[in-house]
Amino acid sequence: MPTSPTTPAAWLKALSRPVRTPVSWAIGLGLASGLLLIVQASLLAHVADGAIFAGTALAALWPAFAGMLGILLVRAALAYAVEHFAFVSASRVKLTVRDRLMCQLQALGLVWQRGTQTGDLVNTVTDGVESLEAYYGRYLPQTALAALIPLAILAVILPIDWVSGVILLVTAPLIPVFMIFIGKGAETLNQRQWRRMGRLSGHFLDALQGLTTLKVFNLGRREARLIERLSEEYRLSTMKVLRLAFVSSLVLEFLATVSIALVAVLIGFRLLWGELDFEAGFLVLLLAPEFYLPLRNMGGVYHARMEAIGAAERIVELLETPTLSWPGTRRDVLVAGEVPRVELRDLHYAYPSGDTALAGIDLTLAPGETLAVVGPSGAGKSTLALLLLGLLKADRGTLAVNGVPLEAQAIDCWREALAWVPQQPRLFFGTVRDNLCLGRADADDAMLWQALEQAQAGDFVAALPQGLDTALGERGVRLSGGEAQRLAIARALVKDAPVVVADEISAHLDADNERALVAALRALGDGRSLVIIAHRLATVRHADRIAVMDGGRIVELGRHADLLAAGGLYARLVAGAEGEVA
Amino acid sequence: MSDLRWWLALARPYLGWFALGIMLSVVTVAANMALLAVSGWFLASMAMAGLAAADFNYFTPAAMIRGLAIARTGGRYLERLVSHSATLRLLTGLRVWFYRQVEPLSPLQLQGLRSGDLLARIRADIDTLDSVYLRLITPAVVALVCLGGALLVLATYSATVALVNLGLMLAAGLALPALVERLGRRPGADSVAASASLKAAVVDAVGGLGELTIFGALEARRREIDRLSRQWVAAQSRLSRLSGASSAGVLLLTNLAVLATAWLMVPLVQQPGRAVVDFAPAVLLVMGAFEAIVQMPAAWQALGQLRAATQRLRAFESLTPSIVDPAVPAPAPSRDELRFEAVGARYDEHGPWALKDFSERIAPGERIALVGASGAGKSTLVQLLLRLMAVESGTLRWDGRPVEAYRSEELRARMAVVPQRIYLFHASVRENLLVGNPEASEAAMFEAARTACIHDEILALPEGYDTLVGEEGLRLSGGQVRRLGIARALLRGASIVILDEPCEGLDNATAARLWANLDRYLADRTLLLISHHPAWVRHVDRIWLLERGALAATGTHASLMRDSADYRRLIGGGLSDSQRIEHLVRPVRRLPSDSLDARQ
Repeated sequence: MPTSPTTPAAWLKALSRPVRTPVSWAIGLGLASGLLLIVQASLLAHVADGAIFAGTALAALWPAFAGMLGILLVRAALAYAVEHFAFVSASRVKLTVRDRLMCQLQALGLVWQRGTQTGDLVNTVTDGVESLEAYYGRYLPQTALAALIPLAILAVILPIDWVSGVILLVTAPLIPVFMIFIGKGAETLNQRQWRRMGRLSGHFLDALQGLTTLKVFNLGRREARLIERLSEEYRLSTMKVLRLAFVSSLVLEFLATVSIALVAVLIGFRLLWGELDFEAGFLVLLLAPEFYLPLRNMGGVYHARMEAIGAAERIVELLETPTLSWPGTRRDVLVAGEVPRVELRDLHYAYPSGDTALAGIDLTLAPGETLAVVGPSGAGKSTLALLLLGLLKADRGTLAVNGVPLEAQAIDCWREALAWVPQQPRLFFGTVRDNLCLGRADADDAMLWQALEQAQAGDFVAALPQGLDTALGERGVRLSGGEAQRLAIARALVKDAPVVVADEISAHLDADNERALVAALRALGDGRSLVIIAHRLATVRHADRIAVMDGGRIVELGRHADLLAAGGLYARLVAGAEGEVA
Repeated sequence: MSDLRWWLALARPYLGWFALGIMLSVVTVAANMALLAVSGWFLASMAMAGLAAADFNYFTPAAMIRGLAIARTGGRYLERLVSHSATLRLLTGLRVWFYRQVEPLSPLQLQGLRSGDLLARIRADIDTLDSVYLRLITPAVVALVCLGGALLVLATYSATVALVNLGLMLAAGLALPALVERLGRRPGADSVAASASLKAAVVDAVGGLGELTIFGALEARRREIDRLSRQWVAAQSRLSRLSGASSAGVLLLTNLAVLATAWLMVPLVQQPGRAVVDFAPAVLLVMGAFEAIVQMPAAWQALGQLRAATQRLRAFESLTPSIVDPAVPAPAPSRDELRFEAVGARYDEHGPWALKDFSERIAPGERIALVGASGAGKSTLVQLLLRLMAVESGTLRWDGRPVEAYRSEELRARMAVVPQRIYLFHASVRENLLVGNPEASEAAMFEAARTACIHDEILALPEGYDTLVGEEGLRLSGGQVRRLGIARALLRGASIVILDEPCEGLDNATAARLWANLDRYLADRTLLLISHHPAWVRHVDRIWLLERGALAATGTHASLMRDSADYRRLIGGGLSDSQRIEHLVRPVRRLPSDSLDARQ
């Protein structure tokens, strides 16, 4: 992957190298079709000359007709083939880029992802990549043909009628020149207008999304008028721009049409004066529109290129975002079946904004210990969890597993030893079984049910319409926050990793749900090292030790009773906000 | 066809513009056909005259050629202007129409609208409806008029030529596109389905990046996405083959028309008494007709898309609002005395009761707190008051009359609500605050922001009150969003204030300051507070403890702390309510979902 910033245009061009073969085929076959068109036109001119002036009978003209029919069939086949090769080149590029993007997203990881908008990423991977199609499928072949076919036609016309040839030769370059000349200015205006259009439709969607808000503030009806007014304003300003922008197409149309008319009139006079024979004149008339056609198509094709460049900009930006690297290679640190000792020494971390998240954490997690982490928001608990999970790298200090710094180890080895229960676990689209087997594809049903029982999730899963085969996720059954978290605990139990990090759900649960969750977390801590970011007194009470964090440091560390007796931050937290506010 | 009629009804106000655009389009295409034909005739006649050394009036055809070239050019320019203007007018109309359709619906009916996916589809559907004119109606009418005209002209030469051309044009303009559209339905649907699966899988993979990393499932997920991507390409490949076949077919049929015309015209023009030069214009006229035909496959496709789009949009038409204002509304209530009389409500007809047999009274100026686990009925109660949900059984009285007697807007004007999920529009802070009261003065706005403890923070934003916020704007922390929501509600100056978890995301010091300010603001107003923050609920007059849609207990903070274990657990059981996990890269914006989530 290149490290220097790449321009989208250069990137698009570089990507065309692997698909050079199909693109060349598309161009070659398109050119062949263009050449056959010239032959077809000559045959038709010959027929016309024969019919009108030579008085040739139909019977004598059949070879020409047979030739045209043959050519026609071949051209139809070529049209089909050109489409095929254009599609092949575009789809190859799309598949490659999409996979590359997914690799990159995965390398960028969770922490980076939280700072971006999912919708935007998803759009880039799906529709963004899709809009590259026009570049390889249309822009590349069409630009080549727009240069080649007019040249071929010119090569035929010039020898037989140099006057018309000169007219075409003079006007043809004017078309791209005008397109660039007028197009440049209009393009900027146009783009500004498109952006305005984007804002307007954004406003419309915004109003739909915030409809309830508008309604409770009695603005529902006013908004309809606002949408109308803004759209009307937009229309007026757009039309102002378009009046100018369409001048470019006016000029193009004018050049092409008037040139054809001029060619026709001039040929007519030379025919009258006997300076040209009819067959040649008619051929030129037939070919003149075909001469301008590819050039006129360039407008639309150029637009396709602009669109592809727009999409490529975002793709290149994503591909060139630096990723977190874990260069370590040691794979001998962890012993199968043994819970490792984890030591944190003087860990520091600052947010990209510069705010300190962790300011020197020293902590040892003894094998099999359950450690609860508590503290006010912003104390650095989540950062600590992410560092433990290897989803984030400390700015300073070491995280050592069995005495070996994480940097020296192969990160996937460490991750194999880990399980994670996020506060809002992602339930992937798929069945309950798919979700449980995320960390261990070969788990059998008995193991799954055992994990579900331990996680206090057996009952509600058994009550689901299809049990383990019930679909979950955005398009499946919706679970409550407490249920989702217990399922995530079951998922962690299935993986059976020696070290688990759990981020307890903070929302209020009813009594039954809360009891179940606490029991599930206890089961999770059984025989494993467990770090819980805790929000419930019931959870904290069962922990072997409690780390109280504040301002990026561990300010208190000990057992529940001792900390309570000490009367510090922990005691105040336990007393709830009651003593602190008001 | 009924879809097309429906569309025409929607487009009625703009039909004049559409007609003008179509007329200009016909002129443009017809001018081109005539240009070719006249040129051919001119050339042949000039050559004939040259051979015979005869005189020929070349002024008329030469002038016609120039005139047609200008008509073609100017017509195209005007046509583009008119049709774009008409399209934009229609777009406005469609958006307003759609907005008016959904505006009266309840949050529950609108639930789907919160997903970005559906919104994107609606936008695409409206764009589809908008393009019906340019992509379907114009090409169809142009083809009909221009080809009809061409056939009439050909018929003056020979009926056979006209009939053969009619057949080939029907094949190229109707039969082939219809066949292609028919064959393309399956792969088209497959392609849409494949793209939806791919999108869902990518959403899943991006949203679950952390889990996938830790559980070692990245590689498998990437392969799965690649598989879906290939599936999509496979469906597209079938469509592409079809489109290749279609363009090959159109090329074949239109060129066959030229060949057939030439073949038939040769013996025809050579008959005595016929003008032999007619061969050239007839053949060229048929060539000129291509332009009208080549747009037909796209028009057929547009017809299919129109069908799908109207189906989805018309689904909203069939939803009836669950709350309709009375034909003869009672005058606005004069005092805010609220009485629940055995009120029951639920989210769907056969679902469980979200609130049942609820009887209570709120006196003007009273302060009430609602406490309960999620699903207890707190939000339902608020939605009933806001008239976002209908009272299904029992009566909810406002100043003695059932709420159904009033216009909903009259009641909403008396309430200021801070929902649990605050929706910020993609607009400036100022505009977002003025949602509370568009007529408010700047001083009033500052005052509300000060009361909500957010004024100083707004001033510290890059452009102060003019900073853009919302989905694509500056990202604010959860606590900032909440206080903006509070300021917005306070700006309303309404007599009933409803606060749903007002101190979520706030640190204790800010929460305390906020309460002190609110306490003053609320002096003679009614307060309905949903909170589990002990420092807040202790200040209210009465607390309603809700459980599974029913009132479990009422009392003051002190009495409930003493008597109710459930209350103690809800209020004091956790370490604290304000300790929601802050995401690492803070502040992370919440999903752009709407306020007042229908299912709490």
